[in-house]
Amino acid sequence: MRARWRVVVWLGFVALCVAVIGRTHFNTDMSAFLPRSPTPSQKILVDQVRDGVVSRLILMGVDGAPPDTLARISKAMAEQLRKQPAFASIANGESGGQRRDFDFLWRNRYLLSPNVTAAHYSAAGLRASLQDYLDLLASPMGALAQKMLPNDPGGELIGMLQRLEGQVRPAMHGGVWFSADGRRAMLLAQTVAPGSDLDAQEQAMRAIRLAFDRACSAAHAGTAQLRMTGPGVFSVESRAAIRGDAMRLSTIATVMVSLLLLAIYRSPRALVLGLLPVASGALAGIAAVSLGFGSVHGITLGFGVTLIGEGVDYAIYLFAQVAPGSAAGETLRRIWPTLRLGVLTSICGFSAMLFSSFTGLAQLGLFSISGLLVAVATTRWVLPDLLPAGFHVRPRARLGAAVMAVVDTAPRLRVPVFAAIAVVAALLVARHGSLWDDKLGSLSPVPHDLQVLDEQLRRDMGAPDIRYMVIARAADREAALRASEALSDILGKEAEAGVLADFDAPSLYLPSTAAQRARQAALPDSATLRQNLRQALRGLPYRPGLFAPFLKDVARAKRQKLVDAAGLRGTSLALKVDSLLLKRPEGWVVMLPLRDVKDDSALRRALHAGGVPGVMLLDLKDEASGMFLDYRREVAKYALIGVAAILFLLAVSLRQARRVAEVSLPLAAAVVGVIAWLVWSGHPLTIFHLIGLLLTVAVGSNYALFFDRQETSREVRERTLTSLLFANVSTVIGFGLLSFSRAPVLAAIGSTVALGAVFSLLFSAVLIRRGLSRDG
Amino acid sequence: MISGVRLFYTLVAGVLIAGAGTAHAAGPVDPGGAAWGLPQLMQGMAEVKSERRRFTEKKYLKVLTAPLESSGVLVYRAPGHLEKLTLQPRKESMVLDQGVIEIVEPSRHVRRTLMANQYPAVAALVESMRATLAGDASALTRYYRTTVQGAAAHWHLQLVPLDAAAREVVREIRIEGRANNITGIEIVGMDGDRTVMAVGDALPASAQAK
Repeated sequence: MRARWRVVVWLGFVALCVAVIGRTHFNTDMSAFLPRSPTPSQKILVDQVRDGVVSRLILMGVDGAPPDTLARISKAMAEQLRKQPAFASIANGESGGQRRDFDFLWRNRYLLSPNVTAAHYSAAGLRASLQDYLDLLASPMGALAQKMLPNDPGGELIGMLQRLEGQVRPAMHGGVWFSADGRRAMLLAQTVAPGSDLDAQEQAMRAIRLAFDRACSAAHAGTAQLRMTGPGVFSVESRAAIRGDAMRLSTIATVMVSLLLLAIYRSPRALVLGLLPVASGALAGIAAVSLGFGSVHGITLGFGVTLIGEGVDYAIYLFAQVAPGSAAGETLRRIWPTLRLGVLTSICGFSAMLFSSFTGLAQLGLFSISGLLVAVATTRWVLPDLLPAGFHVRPRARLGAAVMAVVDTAPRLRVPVFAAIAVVAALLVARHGSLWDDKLGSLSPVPHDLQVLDEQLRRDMGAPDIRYMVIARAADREAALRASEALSDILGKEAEAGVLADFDAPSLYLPSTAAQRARQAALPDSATLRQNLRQALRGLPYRPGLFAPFLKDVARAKRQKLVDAAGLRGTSLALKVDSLLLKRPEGWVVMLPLRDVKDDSALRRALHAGGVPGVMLLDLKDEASGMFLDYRREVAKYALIGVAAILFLLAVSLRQARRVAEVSLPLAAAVVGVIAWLVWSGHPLTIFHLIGLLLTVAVGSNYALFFDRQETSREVRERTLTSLLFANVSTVIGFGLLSFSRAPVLAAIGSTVALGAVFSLLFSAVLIRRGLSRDG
Repeated sequence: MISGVRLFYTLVAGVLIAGAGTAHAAGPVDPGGAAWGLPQLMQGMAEVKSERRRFTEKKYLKVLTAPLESSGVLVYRAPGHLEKLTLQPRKESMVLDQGVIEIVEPSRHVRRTLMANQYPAVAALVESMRATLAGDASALTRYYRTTVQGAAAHWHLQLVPLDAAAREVVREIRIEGRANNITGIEIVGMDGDRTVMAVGDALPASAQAK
């Protein structure tokens, strides 16, 4: 009766888990692997990654057809996508959009140009620019200069255009952006939804693909190919890749482990029963994460595969050790203390991760702990009742004999193994500086081929990564723009001094109201300007009456409506302002990206001396690698705490220092072995390898503990050790398959644990010697 | 970003490059008399492989009451390398090499690189100039309606762009020459501006070194 209740409770629990999972959101953005409590400068970085303008960009490349065809496709795609409300802007180099930029700059040149001062429009100032203008007319820019001369002898627009010209931009063909080699047409979309809204990003990508397909069939270009990258695309594609991998690898692992179990148990019913603990554990793990975090990261989901490897062990220990003629419950009672200790050590290992400030890690911890607990509980309280009476796995004499032969001779290798491990450990310590992979990319959940494509497209777009940014905070938009202007003055001087090549600032496109008013006030009134101009023109070969449009334009500019954010709308400059001027709950942030900083300490000094409040120079590379180091340090710290907790638990349970040492030595040896193998096979360690090592200890401790058992007879010991072999093979299948995943995280953890499990078992055999207990 | 403007100015750069044609050394020309025309002119041009010459240029702009004058050196190397090095009144250079144009104006801190083929009009202008100098008649007639007047001893070659984009900027190019020597180039713009370049004698061989 009690047995039936247990099954009912278990079924209810599983149903509950399924219900929770059904309502779960899955995400794969990088932000789960960003710190939850960042420093102020990290916060800017994190915000940008999560929902900044940068996160909304989708970079597209179309290739595989003749350039003229690609240009047509680019135009047709842009035309379709511009009509869709999901996109804030589509840029492909077409002059339509640039016409608007040009018109905007032309109409507002006297409000926008920092060169508009009273001195510039005095008689002397005008004369100087008119003399410069003669040079300009003779130069290759002459034709453009000549067109603007009658309206703009002060050269305001030309000055602003040269500024924009100086910024890197893609090559052109047929009126649209192309890669430098002319083989790929380039487009840039900005979505309305933030990059972290994966469903919206996925829809945007679908819309882009549809537009591409239509454009291709209209252009009869069957061979053309579309490539997309960007933060949103990354998230969507890694979600798909991880989901796909998780699904595919779980299926393969399940099939392979099932075949193995079928071969061992020779009973389909036992096979199904053997999978119950794993399945319940995986469901419970996902449900727990979903309840605890509100959503489940794709990587956590992918982790489910690993549970197949480990969770299935519990059932194997039980089934393979049931002796003929004894009940399953009896066997369970016998091995339960060992099993319980094994589970507890695993949980100790993972619980450290629970407290991580990185959501991704904490999720992995919670998932593993709840999964293992439920798997072992199902094995302990549900399985025995479901097993058919008299079930036992028929021992395989030859396999058992072989296992025992190995186990009997293995301890002879103790000394050589000790020595080898000691040497390897010493070598690793000697080169500990180069063990780690410090590239931030190694942390990225994005598959490697996508990272390569992204680099390629960025290069084609002429959009190099920006390393330095000047950041200032302000209470409101006007103050932020004024800070941007003050910083532009400082940076302009430093650029002339060669400290940096160039910079961008939102105030170049949207000056503060104060600056615009000052420029209006600096322009002379009509009578004064006419007189200044007359003086300035004396002796210069300009045709009389040429500058009438200039006088009219200045008069208009003096009472023209000031430029505001709404006025920018529809130009590509609006995108720049949106990305460089941000409203945050705690105020406004203004960002000035710098190009080619040659001397950052000189720049720091200049900024400090400038006295603009709340300014900092942000080195994105330093910031990112600093975050990376924090992350690694934290993982290392929790891994050590986990190891300490495991040792403590072993000490409390085993009570003898010698046994504790004997159980932990094979695990330490396995960890050293895995690190050595990874490093010498050219895989610098990442955080995910570290997590893999933690898992190795968790899994391996089960083997060591079973080896440590003093069994009552050689036959029982043979059963125990054979069950370890089966468990090991299933673990290697589960984790080994994971190493084929396209997601770097899963691949790293998979290969680490698969290897670690094998090492743990071998080293346990070599290093742990147990006789039979006398008392029986 | 402001590519309309960029296009326009690039066009002009192309025109100027096209104007940077260099004179050719005197060589044997078939004195066939009545049968003389574009093919014969091209054949003679093709024989010249490299050269340096002085030039003086006057730019008549409708916004000015007096022309802007400049002078410098032209360099040509077969089949596709052209340099216009302005020395007076300011140093400037424009170099075309295998379809890539580089403009350097040290006084205004300008250094730009353009791909001629990214702009159809520029491609037409640059390619036709290269074709003229290389004696490639078929490439020349692909971009221009050509009219040859005179004889081998003293000839005029008139080029009218076929491409609509090129025609928006240039009405015609008139090249004057004696035997395999170009002696003058006049570029007439659509808006009445004119650039007149007189090409002088070859510079001594020692000056060939770069």
